[in-house]
Amino acid sequence: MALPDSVEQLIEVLKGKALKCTRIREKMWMLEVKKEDLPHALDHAYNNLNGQFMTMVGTDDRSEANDFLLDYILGWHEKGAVVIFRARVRTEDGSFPSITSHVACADWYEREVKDFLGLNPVGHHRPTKLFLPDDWPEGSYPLRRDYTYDLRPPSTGKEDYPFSVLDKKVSVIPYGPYHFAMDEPMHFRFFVDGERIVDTDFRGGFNYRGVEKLAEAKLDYAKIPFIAERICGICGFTHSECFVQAIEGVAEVDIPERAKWIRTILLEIERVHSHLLWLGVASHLVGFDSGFMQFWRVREKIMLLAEMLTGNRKTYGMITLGGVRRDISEDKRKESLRLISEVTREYKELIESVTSLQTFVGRLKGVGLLSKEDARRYSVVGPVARGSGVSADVRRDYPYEAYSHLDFDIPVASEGDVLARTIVRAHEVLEALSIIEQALSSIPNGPVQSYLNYIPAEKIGVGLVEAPRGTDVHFVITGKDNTVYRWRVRAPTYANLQVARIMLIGHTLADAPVIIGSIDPCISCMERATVIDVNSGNERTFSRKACWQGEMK
Amino acid sequence: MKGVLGLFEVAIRRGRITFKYPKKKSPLPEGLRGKPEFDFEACIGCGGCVNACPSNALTLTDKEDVRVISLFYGRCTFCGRCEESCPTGAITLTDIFELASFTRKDLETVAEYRLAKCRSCGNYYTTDKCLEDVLSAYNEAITDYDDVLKNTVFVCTECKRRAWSEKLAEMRKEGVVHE
Amino acid sequence: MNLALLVLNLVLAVLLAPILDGLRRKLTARLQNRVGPPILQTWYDLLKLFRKETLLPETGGFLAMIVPVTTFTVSLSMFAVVPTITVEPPMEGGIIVFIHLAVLSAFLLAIAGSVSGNPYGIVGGSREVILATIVEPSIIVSLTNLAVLGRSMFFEEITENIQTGDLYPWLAVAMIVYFVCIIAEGGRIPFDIPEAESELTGGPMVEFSGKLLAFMKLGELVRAIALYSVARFFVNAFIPSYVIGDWLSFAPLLPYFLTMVICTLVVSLAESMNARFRLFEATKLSGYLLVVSSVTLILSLLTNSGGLM
Repeated sequence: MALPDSVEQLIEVLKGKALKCTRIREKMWMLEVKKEDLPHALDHAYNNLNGQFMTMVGTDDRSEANDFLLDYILGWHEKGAVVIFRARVRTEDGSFPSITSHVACADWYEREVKDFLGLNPVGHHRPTKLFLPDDWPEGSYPLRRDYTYDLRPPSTGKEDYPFSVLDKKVSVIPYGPYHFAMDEPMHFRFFVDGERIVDTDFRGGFNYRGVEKLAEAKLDYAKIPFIAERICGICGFTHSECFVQAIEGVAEVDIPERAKWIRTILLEIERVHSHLLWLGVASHLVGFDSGFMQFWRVREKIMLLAEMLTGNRKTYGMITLGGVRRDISEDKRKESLRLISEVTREYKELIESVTSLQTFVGRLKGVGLLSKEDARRYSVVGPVARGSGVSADVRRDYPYEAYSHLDFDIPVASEGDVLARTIVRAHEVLEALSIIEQALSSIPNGPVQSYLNYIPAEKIGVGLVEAPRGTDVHFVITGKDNTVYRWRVRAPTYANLQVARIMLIGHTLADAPVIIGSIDPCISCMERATVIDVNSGNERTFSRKACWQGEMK
Repeated sequence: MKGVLGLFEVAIRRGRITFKYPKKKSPLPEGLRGKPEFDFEACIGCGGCVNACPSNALTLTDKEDVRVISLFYGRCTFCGRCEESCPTGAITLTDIFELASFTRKDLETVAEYRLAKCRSCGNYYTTDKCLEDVLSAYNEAITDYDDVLKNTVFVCTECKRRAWSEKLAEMRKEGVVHE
Repeated sequence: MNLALLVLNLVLAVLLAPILDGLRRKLTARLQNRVGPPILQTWYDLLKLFRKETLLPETGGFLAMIVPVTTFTVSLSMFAVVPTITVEPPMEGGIIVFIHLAVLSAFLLAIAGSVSGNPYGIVGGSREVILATIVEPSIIVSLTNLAVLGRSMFFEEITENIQTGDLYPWLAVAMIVYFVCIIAEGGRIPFDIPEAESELTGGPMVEFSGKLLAFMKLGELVRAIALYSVARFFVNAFIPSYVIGDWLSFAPLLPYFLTMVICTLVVSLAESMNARFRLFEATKLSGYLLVVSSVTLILSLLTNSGGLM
């Protein structure tokens, strides 16, 4: 079936299977479908009509309507439109049909709904725990409304996670959760034959912190941007921007132009610092420590710029509903322009010498291949997708803030290996520096904050922002009294890490860190909730039970 | 320049970037968000900062006739909302960021304020300093100055509500105010 | 056997190895635009390790305690046959004993990795063995150059014989090959394969801590400077005899320390300008090295068809 020309036609095509279709706001629709029709409708939308799978949200709506809500958000980036497929699951029912056989990337989302809400995905090929620790008691579902945010259930004492077992004779090399090469804890299991990786398995959940539950229980709209900023240590500003975008979409308020431009400048500053950090880390992972030192030396100037504009090197604290909290004075603007031109010059001379270094480039070439079909099938986002030939960027497709006034390119490479992703990121740094310079030169005058009067309850907001790692999606259902009813954060690494297995198989152990690193995993972004501190995975060392007892005391 | 020579050139041209901290410190920009500090003279104990703090670093407890406002730097996120919401400018963010210490006690600042009694019901309702601040804003040329003060400033919210609803009921009975 | 000289050699080796490592770290830092750690930093690190608690792996048993100390002892014993600041070594052994001890210490590192059964240790150990096997032939061949031209397998006789003023240009090529092999045997980037920090979390040394780790590290450092000490003979061969004659009596310590510093500089340059090799890349490079050094050996044999004696 051909892609319809307009989204109206799209809705027409899908409406035959929908119970109700509402237009939430411009370019955002909601289709209510029956639970049983979900696989069919989503299969059609995802495979035949080429939608991108953005996120899936489960909400406990039993207090309002005696059922659970399941929202599947799909986006069409050529049209800049978002369609939400909603299904209701009755409380006594407790299960829903899994769409994983048609939409391969829905794997983790369904496991997360099972972990946190207790709804069973029927037909899922491997519904093991995703984020909950191995010794979590059954029947305890953290995101249900009757589970208070500071409840700590007792441990069951069992530590069995069913890792996959191969029938061939292979040795198992654990990678993480404690490893020098990883900034954040995650556990990969490599099944190796000599030096070659035959298969891998993944276990996450070590950094799960309870952000969504906390926001529902204790915080209001003015405070959530601050906690959103602390979801991630590298791309925090993107999360707070995304949340605020979702709420401002609900309130349908127009924020002042100057505030939009300042937000754009800060988003691009974050992109530059994140990519420079990644380039340094990638150099370190292949053993090229000089590259690490040099890239981070250039990055220091960007951190200085951020500190001057916002008061802090990280966690800018600049976003508030309705604008930004600080203005950029004329002196600071001139100083920023000077710093940006310095950084551009230093970065260009560095990247020229580093990318022509054969020992470095040779380590990155031809490893970690991801084909364009796989990239499309798993809906990967960000430089991982752009390195495999998929040209998708939220800044161009769903324009927000001041990006429609600025002139920039989206670099795309087609080889699909680690080197392609490196080149994409390297070019993105130059583009980002050019955007900051354009924005600083032609920023309009005016106020930086506008007031939001009233944000209606029970409305849906979706925020889409291009984080350095890909598409960041925040889904909000607003609640009464300036609180949120449901807030779901889908960080880009969530989509990208699911293809790690495809990229790793067939390569040697020496390439494993750089392949995983090329996804630029930001595990803190990916895992956002559970109040309990967990520690699992490495079966050779001390027993986790001993650790847990220490925790409880 | 390309390759290894290029790296050499970069290394030589840029010189030494690191320096020996803490003997030498890096220059701080103005507007750095460091630790918030109280100016105890200006603070009136209203609790606006406590309301605004997103991470519960600032807490307020009323015990008998004392109000305790405590700021614990271990939870502070240096966001600056307390500074924005303070009516008297008593809490401001300095540029001190080196807060490591060996004891938890070093990281806590505690302020205590005396509470005033409501003249109608006798409960403690606000701090003495809040009352002073409000009184300093009143113009003495208001007629019935003492009367106004007695009914609005020196009584607590509950008593005010009760007094007004009684007065409203009276006015309705007299036909002054209609339903 | 000269007991006083033996004690001097061993003490000097232990004292000097961490200092040279500190110098290497300082030089690498300066090439990366940093101030770098103080030159005595490696000594501070080792002393700190000696004071720390030693945790033994459960599955290691008795062997886990023995192997690190053995590695250190074997590396140190290389200095019984290699001369440092004098011309003759404390004990007679020459090139053959030296090479045997070098290979033995490499294999001991592999055994250390497998002692506890940790997969990282085992993989690191196997990589160490592979690397040692492919690099040792090049070392042997380039040292044999010296032996052929010096008409002896013993160090003091080599020095004496090559001093007579003939310059052998292909010895420079052998010297370059030997320098590359120093980097490989010493386990520095780009040949950091057995202990690849970001891939294997430390390779063979992953399960050791405290005093045992200190011994292993010290053993590694001492082995590296034993290799540097032998490089001195290559350097000597390029300085004409009249300079050598005066040199050796005027400032006898100078050639030795100068060679050490040159070697450290070479290692530091290689470390800061390269990424880590993968195993097949290292194998390929070692193949080239072997071919090149064999050519130089053939040239040496042709010049000096009198043979080794």
